[in-house]
Amino acid sequence: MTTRRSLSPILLLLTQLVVLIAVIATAQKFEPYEINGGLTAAVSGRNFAILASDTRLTDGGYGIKSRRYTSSRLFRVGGGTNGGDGFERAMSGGDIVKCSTSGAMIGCSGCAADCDALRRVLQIEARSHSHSSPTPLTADSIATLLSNVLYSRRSFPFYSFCVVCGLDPVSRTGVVHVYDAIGSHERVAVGCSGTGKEMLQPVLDRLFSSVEVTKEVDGGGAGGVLRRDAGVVSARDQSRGLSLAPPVQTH
Amino acid sequence: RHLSQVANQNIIPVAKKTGTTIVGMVYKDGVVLGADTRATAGTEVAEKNCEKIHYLADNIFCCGAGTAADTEKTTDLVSSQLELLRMNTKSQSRIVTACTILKRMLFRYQGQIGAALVLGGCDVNGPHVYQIYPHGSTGKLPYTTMGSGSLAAMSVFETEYRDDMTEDEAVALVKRAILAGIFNDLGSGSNCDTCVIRMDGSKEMTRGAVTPNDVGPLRAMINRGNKLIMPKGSTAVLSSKFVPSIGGVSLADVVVTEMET
Repeated sequence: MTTRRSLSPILLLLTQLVVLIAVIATAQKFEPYEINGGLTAAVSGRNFAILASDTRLTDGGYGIKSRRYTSSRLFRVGGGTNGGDGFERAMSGGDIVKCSTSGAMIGCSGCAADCDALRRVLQIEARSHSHSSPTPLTADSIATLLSNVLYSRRSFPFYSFCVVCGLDPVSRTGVVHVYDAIGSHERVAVGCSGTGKEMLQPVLDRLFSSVEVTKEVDGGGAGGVLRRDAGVVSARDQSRGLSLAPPVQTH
Repeated sequence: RHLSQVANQNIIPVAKKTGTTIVGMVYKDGVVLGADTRATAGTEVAEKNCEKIHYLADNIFCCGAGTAADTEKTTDLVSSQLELLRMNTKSQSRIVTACTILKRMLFRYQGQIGAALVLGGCDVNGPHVYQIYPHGSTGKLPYTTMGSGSLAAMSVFETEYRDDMTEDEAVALVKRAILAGIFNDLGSGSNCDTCVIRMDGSKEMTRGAVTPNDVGPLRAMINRGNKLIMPKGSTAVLSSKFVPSIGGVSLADVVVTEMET
């Protein structure tokens, strides 16, 4: 009898404990980042550089926000009128877009809001530079600029994985840099970032990274392969779509 | 033990719609079941053409969403139990029997078995469609959808379903519902499978009733050249050394990854 009487207060305490833990456990944590997806890839060659990206914007989960989102996925920095002059309109066409040779193109994936903020910061920096210097920014300078901008936010990073693509103004060879979220970057021959990059990078490495290939491949061929390869990858990664917008820079 | 389980989680798991689109509906002379064919492991697509419509009996089929292993094994188990029951009772299995066996088992496991099912078939009492949730609750409905693409598919059903449709209309409607899931939900994709079970006892299981995502022609267009076609002997063997493992390989070396349908 004594055991039964002493059981019920313990039971009451236990249920209170469960409720308490449940309340603590369900307290919502503020999650600042949302992964909106995207895959960007770039190939550099003797006299060209190509940047391509997919155009799907996801809601961080299973939903699709847009099938044709390019505004912060792929953008120009530092070239002449700073990305205006019909670049956006040309991008919506879906064919290969040829750009002028100054400045660089940047492909960003990850959190779309952060990519957009990054785009605005970079375009402002480039415009500010054009006010104080007669020579336009080169692709390598933009690469360094992006690294500094990303590291300036070391304590609350831009959740943005970038690829910078441009032409070297002197030697006219392609320049491609790949980044992590806080600005560590490396110049590479071929690079990609975003969802599905682990699947695309080995394919790009195999096709483009040996010397004899860059001799044969011209801009059109590389663009075609890039489009198709990324198309094959998209079947395997649910965060990516099938439509690509590859701009090409040649001289 | 339950307390320690709750305490160990940093957050209470949010009810997760499982990556798939499955539907079932009753029409004039039977039922039509439909499913997509994508199986995911996290955000990666593990299988592009998996089979989600499982056999339970000659007159009963079951679409499964949720943990792939759970739906597979649960339907296999119940299929065997139904066969034993048929031997005992010497009569055709009824859909309500399958539903009851499934719900009792799932409830016993308190939702730990992640199997969300759309059960459909025809028996002496007519055509039936049931929906069964992982915790063991069921619903009997003229049409139903489950999985992460269920909202997309249900929007199609709610717009266009009528009672007593013909078979052609019903199959077309099911295909449209699954395609809505395939194109608007990231957890569903690839092809649409359908299964028609008629009151007269015949059935028709169509793998790939619609294949809108066939990458075959695109892949055939790619001229890979010799770079990607590597003949045997491409990699030079510099030296080779064989070291037998001491004690062999044990189950401790196996890593289990959950795959979702």
